[in-house]
Amino acid sequence: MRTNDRFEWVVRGLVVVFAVAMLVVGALFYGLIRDLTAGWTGTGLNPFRPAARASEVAGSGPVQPTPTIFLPEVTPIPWDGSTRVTILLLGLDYRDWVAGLGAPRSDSMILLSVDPLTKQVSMLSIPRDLWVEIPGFTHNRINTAYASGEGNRLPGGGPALAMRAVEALVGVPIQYYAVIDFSTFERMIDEIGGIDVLVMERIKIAPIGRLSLWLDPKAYHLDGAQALAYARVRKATGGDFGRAERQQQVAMAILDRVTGFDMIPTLVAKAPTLFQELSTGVRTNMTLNEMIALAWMARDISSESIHRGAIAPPGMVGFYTRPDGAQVLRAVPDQIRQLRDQLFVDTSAIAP
Amino acid sequence: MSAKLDETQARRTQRSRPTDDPLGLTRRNAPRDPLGATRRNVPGATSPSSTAGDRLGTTRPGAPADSTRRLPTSQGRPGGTPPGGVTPPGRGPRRRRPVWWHWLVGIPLYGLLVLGVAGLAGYWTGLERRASAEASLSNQALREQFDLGVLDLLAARYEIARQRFDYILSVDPNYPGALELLEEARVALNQPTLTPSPLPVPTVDVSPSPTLNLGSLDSLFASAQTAQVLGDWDGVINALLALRGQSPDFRRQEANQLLYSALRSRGLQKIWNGDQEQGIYDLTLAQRLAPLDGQAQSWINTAAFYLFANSYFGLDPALATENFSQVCAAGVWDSCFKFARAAWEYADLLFGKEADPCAAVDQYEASLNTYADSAREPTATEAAEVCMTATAPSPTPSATITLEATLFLSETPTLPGPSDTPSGPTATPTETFTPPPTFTETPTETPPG
Repeated sequence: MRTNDRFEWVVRGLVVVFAVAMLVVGALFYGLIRDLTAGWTGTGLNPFRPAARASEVAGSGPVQPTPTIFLPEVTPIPWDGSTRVTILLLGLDYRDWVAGLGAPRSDSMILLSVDPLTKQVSMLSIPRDLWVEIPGFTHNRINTAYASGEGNRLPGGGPALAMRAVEALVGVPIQYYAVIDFSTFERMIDEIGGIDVLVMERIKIAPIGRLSLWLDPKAYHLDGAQALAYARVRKATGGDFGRAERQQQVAMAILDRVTGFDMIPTLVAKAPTLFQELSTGVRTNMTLNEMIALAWMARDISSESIHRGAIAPPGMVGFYTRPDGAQVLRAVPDQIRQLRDQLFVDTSAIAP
Repeated sequence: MSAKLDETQARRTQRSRPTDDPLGLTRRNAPRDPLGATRRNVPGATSPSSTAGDRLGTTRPGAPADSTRRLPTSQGRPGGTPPGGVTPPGRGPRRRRPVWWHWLVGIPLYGLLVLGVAGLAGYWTGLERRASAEASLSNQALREQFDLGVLDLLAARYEIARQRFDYILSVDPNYPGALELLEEARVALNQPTLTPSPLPVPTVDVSPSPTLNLGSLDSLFASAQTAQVLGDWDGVINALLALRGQSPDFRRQEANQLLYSALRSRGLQKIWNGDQEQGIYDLTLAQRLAPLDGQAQSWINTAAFYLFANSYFGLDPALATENFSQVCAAGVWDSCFKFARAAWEYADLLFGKEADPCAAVDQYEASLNTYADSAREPTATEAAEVCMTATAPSPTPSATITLEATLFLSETPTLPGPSDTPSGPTATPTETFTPPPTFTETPTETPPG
């Protein structure tokens, strides 16, 4: 009899302990969900935040965390799926920022535009030394727009000012931007297993942290560091303009690689890693839904529907040396306009 | 026979019942058998405990034997132990649901309930926190942008100020003071807020419905017409493109007319707001649908000429001055400010590197007459003195340049109305070397792997 009573009390005690434990677990779960919900911005990937500036670290005291740079984001109107969507791709070298040299200049600018109705894609490379009017500032090289926007704490920061500068140059409304850090670019190409590139001329590349090497005119399979070096090299035929061509070539190679059938299992398997890379090294104002919608649409676009162009000599730029000795490129508006019309107007769904 | 057995069983039950529990309701045995009356399930079991386990008092003293069958005991259930505890052959006794089964179901249910309530509560609290944090950050950002905008206005950085106040009003249209300061910046930039008159289009009596209804083609078209009436050019264009995406041929001619009108109006609006290239782009798109009228074409030419002049700014002061002087004659945008800046830069070049002080004086004078700047007048006076010294045969009298400087930017801008003939320059910019632009189609061949 006593044994049974004890057993009953033990059972009751266990029930009470379990009930209390569940309440504790519930409280923890409540806190977790609350913090996750409160921390989710819902505006796509997180903004890129450099680790810490050298000037901030240089002091003898303990390393201070990088102060959060809060620049109000200019939220675009959500894409409705039928109007042309244009994205400004900006390549940045954040090592300048980390080294305490201030906000970085954009190293490469590519305007990517997709018309969902005609399934036509246009890609325009913009040279970084192009002399343009930066809205709100004086004339300067177009690659200074990003740094000016960040440095002056404009709404939307550097990307917004860069978008406005390119809009004023080309005229095409730009809804989105994607800023990618070089190191992220490298790692992402490594994650997808490298890219295949057909080198058109003998060229010397210098991958970061490795010895330089010569590439002969033939097909190569490049890893991340090599691909980045190939896209950035300037000491080759065409200088900056050949560089723009190579950047588009690399972009197309990435697209080919990612959309290849054999890549689907790899992408699925590496999705967490790729998302982590994107989260930490890419800054964009696109939402995840918009990115998925665009990626979904990309399946229907053939390589023949991708039109590429570059603001390049002859005709579209003039070479000038400023009184301070700076060599810049003058934009020739009517010639750039002709290229713009070929890339963005002739491919538009707005037609009779 | 059966009735006799029942009677016997009832007597036995009555004998085995304790005297202090005549109804047999005691539960003393329950803890001993927490999993249920297992012994009752043993075929043929007729022990007192099993009888006493019938908590509902199935065997009341004196109750007729038949009445016990009607009570909800095991006897009344299919498969239950028949009277006398005899289980019919081939029909096993049904196990009674054990007590622990309640716990087995109840514990997870309780856990799920707690987690569900906690999750929902956490989600809603998180949403509230997020909204609160966003509102706080937004207010902080707006306040900061407002303060910076005021500083920009004071420092004559009108374009930056305009960007800040535009942003503030896009977030909070009623932000105190922002609209007034935006207008101030616009006036300083010579960017009046004008509303282009749209081309006449057949208007329909529709109630305003700003939300795009993707449900039907008719509603899309109606949305476009409504937006047209409201002057919402973006709304017209988006609705018609959505319509085109669903059914390219639906009321195609009318849709094209609406699209043309919206693109033309938006293009002119952009040009007048100082977004020249963006406006030209819209007008070029409109041109795909129908030829542009004279007014739109003239504004394209004016905007193109402004952009042509602007491309020399900071690079070739002579050409910038020459071209901006023509645009400034039309008094549009910030052309006169830029003319003054370019002329001054050109004058500095003439006075310094070119060693032509008299030519420099002309440019200084033109610059100061357009945009007064007292800080620069001494330089102009110095150039005039040098010029007179160089040209005068006799001892140089002291010369003082007196300029009646007027601040052009404070004047009321005079843009031609929608029905006016534009007074801006219509000269087509000419380049000395204009080969076709670089345009490469994507090669169809893929590089060998």
